[in-house]
Amino acid sequence: VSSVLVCQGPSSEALAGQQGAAPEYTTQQAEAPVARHWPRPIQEAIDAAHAACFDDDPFPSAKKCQKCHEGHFREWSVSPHAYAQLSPVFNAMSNALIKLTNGTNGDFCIRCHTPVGMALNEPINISNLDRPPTTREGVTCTNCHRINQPWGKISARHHLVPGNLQQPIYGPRGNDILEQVLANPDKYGPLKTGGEDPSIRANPIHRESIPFFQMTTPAFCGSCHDVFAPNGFRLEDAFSEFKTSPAARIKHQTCQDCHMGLVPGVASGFAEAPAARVGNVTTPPRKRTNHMFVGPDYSIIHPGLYPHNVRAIREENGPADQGLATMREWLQFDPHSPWGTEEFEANVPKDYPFPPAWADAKRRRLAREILNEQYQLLAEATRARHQILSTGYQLGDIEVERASDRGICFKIKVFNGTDGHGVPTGFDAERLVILRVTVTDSLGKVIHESGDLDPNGDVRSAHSSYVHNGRLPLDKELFSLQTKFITRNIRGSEKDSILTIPYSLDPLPYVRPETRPFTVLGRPIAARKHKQNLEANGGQRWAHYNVSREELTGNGPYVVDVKLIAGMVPSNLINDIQIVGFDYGMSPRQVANNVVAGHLVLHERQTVVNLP
Amino acid sequence: MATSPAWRQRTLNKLWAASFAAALAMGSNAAWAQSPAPAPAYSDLVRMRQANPASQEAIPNLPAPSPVPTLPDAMPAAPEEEPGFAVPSYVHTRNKEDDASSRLSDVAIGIQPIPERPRLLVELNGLFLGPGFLSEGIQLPTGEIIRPSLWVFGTNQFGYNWFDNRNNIKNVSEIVERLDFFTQLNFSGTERIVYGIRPFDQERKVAGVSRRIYTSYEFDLDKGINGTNGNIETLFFEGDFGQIFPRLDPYDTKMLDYGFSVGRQPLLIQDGLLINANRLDAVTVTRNTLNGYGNLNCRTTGMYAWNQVHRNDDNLDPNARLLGLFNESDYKETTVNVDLVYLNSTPKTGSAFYAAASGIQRLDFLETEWSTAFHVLTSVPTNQQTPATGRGTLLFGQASMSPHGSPDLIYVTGFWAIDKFSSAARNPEVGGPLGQVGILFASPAFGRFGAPLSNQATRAAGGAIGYQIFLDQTRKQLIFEVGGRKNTEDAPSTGQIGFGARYQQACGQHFIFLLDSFVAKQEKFDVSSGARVSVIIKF
Repeated sequence: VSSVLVCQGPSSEALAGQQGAAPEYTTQQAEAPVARHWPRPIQEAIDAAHAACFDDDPFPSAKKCQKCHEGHFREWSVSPHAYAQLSPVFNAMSNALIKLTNGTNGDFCIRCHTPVGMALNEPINISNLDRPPTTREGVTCTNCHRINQPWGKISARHHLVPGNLQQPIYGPRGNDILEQVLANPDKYGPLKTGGEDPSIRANPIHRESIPFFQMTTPAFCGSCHDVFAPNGFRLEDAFSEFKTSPAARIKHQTCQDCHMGLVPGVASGFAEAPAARVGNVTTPPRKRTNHMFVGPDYSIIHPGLYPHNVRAIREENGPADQGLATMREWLQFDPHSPWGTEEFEANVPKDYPFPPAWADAKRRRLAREILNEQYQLLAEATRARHQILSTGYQLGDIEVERASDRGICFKIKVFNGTDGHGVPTGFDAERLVILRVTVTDSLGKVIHESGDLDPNGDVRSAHSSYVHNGRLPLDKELFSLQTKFITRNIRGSEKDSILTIPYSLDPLPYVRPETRPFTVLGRPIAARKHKQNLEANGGQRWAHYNVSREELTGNGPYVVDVKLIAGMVPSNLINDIQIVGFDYGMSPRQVANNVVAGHLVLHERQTVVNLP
Repeated sequence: MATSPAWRQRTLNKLWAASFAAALAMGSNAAWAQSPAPAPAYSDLVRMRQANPASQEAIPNLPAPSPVPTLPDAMPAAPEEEPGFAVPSYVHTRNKEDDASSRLSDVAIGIQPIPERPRLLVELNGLFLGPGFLSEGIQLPTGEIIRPSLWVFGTNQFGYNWFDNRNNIKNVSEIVERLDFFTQLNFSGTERIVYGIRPFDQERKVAGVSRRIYTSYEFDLDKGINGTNGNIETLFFEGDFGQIFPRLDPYDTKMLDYGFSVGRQPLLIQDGLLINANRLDAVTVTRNTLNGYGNLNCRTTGMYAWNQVHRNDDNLDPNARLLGLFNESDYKETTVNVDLVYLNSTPKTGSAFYAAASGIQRLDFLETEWSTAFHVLTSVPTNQQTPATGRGTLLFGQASMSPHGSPDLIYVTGFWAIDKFSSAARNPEVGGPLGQVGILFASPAFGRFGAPLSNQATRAAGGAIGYQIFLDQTRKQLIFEVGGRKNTEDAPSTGQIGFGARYQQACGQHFIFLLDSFVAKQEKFDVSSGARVSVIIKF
């Protein structure tokens, strides 16, 4: 039975033996959940085959690495890398682009977000609830430490070296500490590097750490963070921006200096700490990089699912002692409920209608304990996110240019606080960085505002559905650093678009290799970006505001308040991609709610204006 | 504690309904995603309590919910939906029912099916944007890693053209075939060779003028035309110097990211107004992502073309050499293109300087955003004017907007050609420089069906207004356009006006059905009309 069903190939030996051969998943496996309705013996065979697949995983889960590298795992577990594939916004955007390009966008987006999943030939649009751990871990350990060649700007289409946990990994440093560990079984305990008698009880460990120079260079980051589509569209060019920046050219800094160091966003040196704990003994200290890689993204999903927590998630059909609950069960645990708190559990009636998965008070208490850990870690990541974003974006002081009974004019400067790249960078066309401005009279009435949000949580730009439908006025003073996606109209210039689909030109948009040199124009004919970010080379911009005579109430003095706010994506993106649905049973509004909830105020300035 | 049996029963029913839905959801992703949110959420409990105050005792010791900010809703029902959350002052509140078309949905539809990736005709050693294991690369002596892949793709168009100009010149009734067939040998993310042929149409001299001859059957002439050929239309290599020679900059501190292309390649500059060449034998060098001092992103390209230069009179000029400098810069409000070309040729066809500048931006006007572009182009012969080299200036503007509440597009374009502006290079099939003015001015590059209105930029002014309607999301489109032009100086035939309509529809993943029609009137001539219907296949 099992031969009919499952994991045909992602065994490390199979992949290692035939470079270039794509492991095949059978249709049944692609639709694996269907098997849950099968008779018990068949189901057991599936489970066994599935388990065997995980045991000989060609790309081990980070959970396996966590056993020795707890610190790295903890940082990574709450990183945007770890969130990359879990993000319902990403998955919906990828699926929407595929739908709108008639399938031709293929794995262009998701190849970066789950390189292992794509290497294993997983279906693109299945729920993350149905993906195995390694693939839903997104940019997981193996996505960097199983790269053995300097690929350059390959938009994440690099080769991943398959192999189980004991196969060599690639790192910046080399083998010296690992050799010490392997040479001292008395100190670190018995270890298995492969080929030993299976009956020997020992901890598995990678047998070698091969030094890989490129991992220390910006080009390694650039292999994913310069994203060029094969039709010539330069979706992201963080690495290209970096290469023209003072940080690269003059200071000779690297991406790692600011994004893996002690202080996020600042070249502040690195920690000196053990990289691993083997057999409960820590390895000698050495340069220890931070793997949290905080950036503008944040989680909007259930805190039981993210950050990755080995105590939290049990695989469906997996061993009961590995993780508290399945992802589906976690989605039935309302994190905002009092379940699992001492106060609640001490008073809960016996017939309280819990979902079956959470009927056991012990499980609920454990869940609450895990959630508290998760919230702590999320808060830590939020602080780090605030640190890096408030370093990158700087806000000057409010300068009142004119204040009289004819009105108030003021301006404020926003400037780039980093010399390593523009801000925002990377996926700058969907990064919401705005100024929220209010002018309030002495009675507390807001007489003038900009950067306020419509009921969907969108700024009042032309992309706001409320503005487009004429329900709210356009925010003509909106200060936004969000780069624009531009698509060509059949005639009448180029349009500011939410997605890069040039549907006006073509009722059947297609992604195919560009048939003209895409270097010449730096873009395809039909779509491009119009950058709006602040460049690394002294980028700054003034925001100007005018309060008209009619808006003044006569109840001065007036308080001007300016907040610099960073959000992950604008709500209009959620509006545009909702056609393909969101994972985890989330509604578009839930997604927008949670995105808005993650907005951070990076800086705030206030001034009082007295009219003569 | 006392418990309301009715409340308990409702809750249990809801729970089991949710559980049952979740169990069903195990069967498919869509079913999972369509299942209601797992109950009981805290908000559900509160809502139930509000609905039935008697049941309060059934929910013991409820603490205040976590202060997670969410979006407000001004509807009376909103407090039930999002209990206890303060409405942030910066968020507008609106009536939910009135704003149904604007408001994000509360309904989770779950993960929807998406189209499968249509395979290319040939995909060797790596799918084109397809999932699968990617093989190990080959390291070149320069240090670059490549993974050669071969991809074959293209477009085929087959259709019927009918064109009655009622001028006793030539009417057209023909079945036409055009195939654009490409092979790409892909090496890496930046290096590739592209080879393209058009096996069913080719360029020939007809009465001393270069023309594109399509494989067709001409009903009006009652004969077939054979345009089959094996000519190379496209064959170029492009790459990135820094990527090919990574060892020259191992620490990424030098700016060696120079893109370049060499070979027979298409080139489109200034929306085709300055250069609209399907093939030029040229070498280009490009520097991208330059910025600073308000320039947010600058790309600059130098080009030298030594062969296959077609002049503004449509003819191939074997002696022409092009030297170009093309720049595009993003500024906060506008994208500026500044392009300079020098063309050197024999006195017979003429040499000339060409300069063009354009600004592309969005402007707020009438509570909506207008997409606009303004171009200024000039051609200056170094000696006397020739049929291929005119002296003149072209002013061209275009704008478009979507009406409130509609995805449709309204566009308006206008031009003013002062004297005789000529493009630096353009292929005969694309017609004159003014194809961008409107669909009535554009050559379809498909058989003998020409542009209904003249697209030459010689002492004339005109424009077009069009409306593009999107149906079935965007897969069905209807375009109406009115256009006209008038010579600005006395000329044998001056005014032209036309009306055109186009219907285009995507069918499945590969096909487009296209129906074009027009009527036009030129002074001193009868009304002309035409239609074409064709099927485009993408693969």
